[in-house]
Amino acid sequence: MSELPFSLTIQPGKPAYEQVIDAVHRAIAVGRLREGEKFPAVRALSKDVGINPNTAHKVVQHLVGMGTLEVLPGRGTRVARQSKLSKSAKVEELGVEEIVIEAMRLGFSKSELSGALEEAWDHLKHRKK
Amino acid sequence: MSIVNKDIIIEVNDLVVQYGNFAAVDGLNLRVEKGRAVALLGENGAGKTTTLRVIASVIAAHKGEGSVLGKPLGGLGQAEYAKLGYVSENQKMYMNWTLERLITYLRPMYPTWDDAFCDELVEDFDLPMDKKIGAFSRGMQMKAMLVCSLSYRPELLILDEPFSGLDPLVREELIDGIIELMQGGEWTILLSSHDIHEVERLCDTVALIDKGKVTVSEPLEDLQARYKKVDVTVENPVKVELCDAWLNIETDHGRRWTFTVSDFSATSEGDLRRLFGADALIELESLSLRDIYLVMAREKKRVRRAAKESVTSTVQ
Repeated sequence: MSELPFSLTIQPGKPAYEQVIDAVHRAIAVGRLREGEKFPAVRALSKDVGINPNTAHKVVQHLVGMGTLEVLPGRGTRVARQSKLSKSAKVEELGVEEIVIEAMRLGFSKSELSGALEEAWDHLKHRKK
Repeated sequence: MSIVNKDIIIEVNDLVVQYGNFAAVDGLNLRVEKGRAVALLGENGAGKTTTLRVIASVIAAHKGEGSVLGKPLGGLGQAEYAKLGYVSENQKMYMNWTLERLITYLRPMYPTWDDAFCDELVEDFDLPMDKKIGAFSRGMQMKAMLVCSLSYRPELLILDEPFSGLDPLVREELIDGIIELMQGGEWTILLSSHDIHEVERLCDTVALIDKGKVTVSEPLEDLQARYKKVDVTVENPVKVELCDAWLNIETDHGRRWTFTVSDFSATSEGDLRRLFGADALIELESLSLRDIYLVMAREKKRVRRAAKESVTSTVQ
């Protein structure tokens, strides 16, 4: 049985390590991984996702570098606090522009897009409970 | 914690193997560190199988030197063979034997043979012990070969096209099995494959072979860090001086540019800004190993064609 709080099948197209990073962020967004919670061991990540252990190790290092995870002496790797995350994150990096362009191309109005964003936000938050 | 240590398990320099007048391997260099899982990628006929066969001491090289498992190339003895697992799609198996008989035959040859591990593998791979190997499907035969090569926990595992001809489910099981193995000991794996999507998951190092030479050999993460797909959109068409390191360039009348950079670094985004202007919309995308391989292959073809054309024009 999987030890991971999320499931992931690596698909062709995107780099494998990027798919793992996205899956971790998604798991945090929907509350499957909570702040302060222990992050699965490299071994579990490698085995359950089906990626090379060295690659899994790099993924964890990368997530620590991004501020998503933190290494606490004696307590292992944990999901970092949100406040810490927001300090290192920039809203420009979200790729909102792409979504806006695509919405314009498809002829959606500004309020329709705002509505869709809010709905998606609530949907993810709701799943947390 | 790093699984990789700096011990070198394989090192070959200036390797040459000829079949008649044809040099299948033509001045090849390769270095494999302990604990790494290295993929040899290349077209058919690039020299992958020949390279693996030389390293496994199945055939001898005509030129070149190096070491495998601490012994000079070609000088592997009983002790080294007991630490080396070699599985090839072309390997002959004992088709009239049952798997049980084959295992009983092989076990005494390997001091490190692990009965419990062998039983576990047979169970995991769901192989019948009492059926003739000749009656196994291709996937089962491949698994049987793996059982026989893994049960003595070799330090170096060489796999030549391990996934070819396997159906997707068996392929997944094999990959999961190998990844599971990599957790425990300090295995070093060298494999050749055309299944690049699988390779991206399984391996941490990539060596590209072209015409008998290794052209690129580096950790997968470094390769993926330096290859980026760039997509630039500008308000007004711009003329940009093309850079040699840009591959597969396409432009829509100077308004939109897409290309792949092969040497992306921390400073590259600033360089792109200077070229395309502060208002340009620049999007960067990482590439899967398969896409990187395709970009390289296309570029190689383009260079070859250009070289041919310049020869033709000189003649005229």
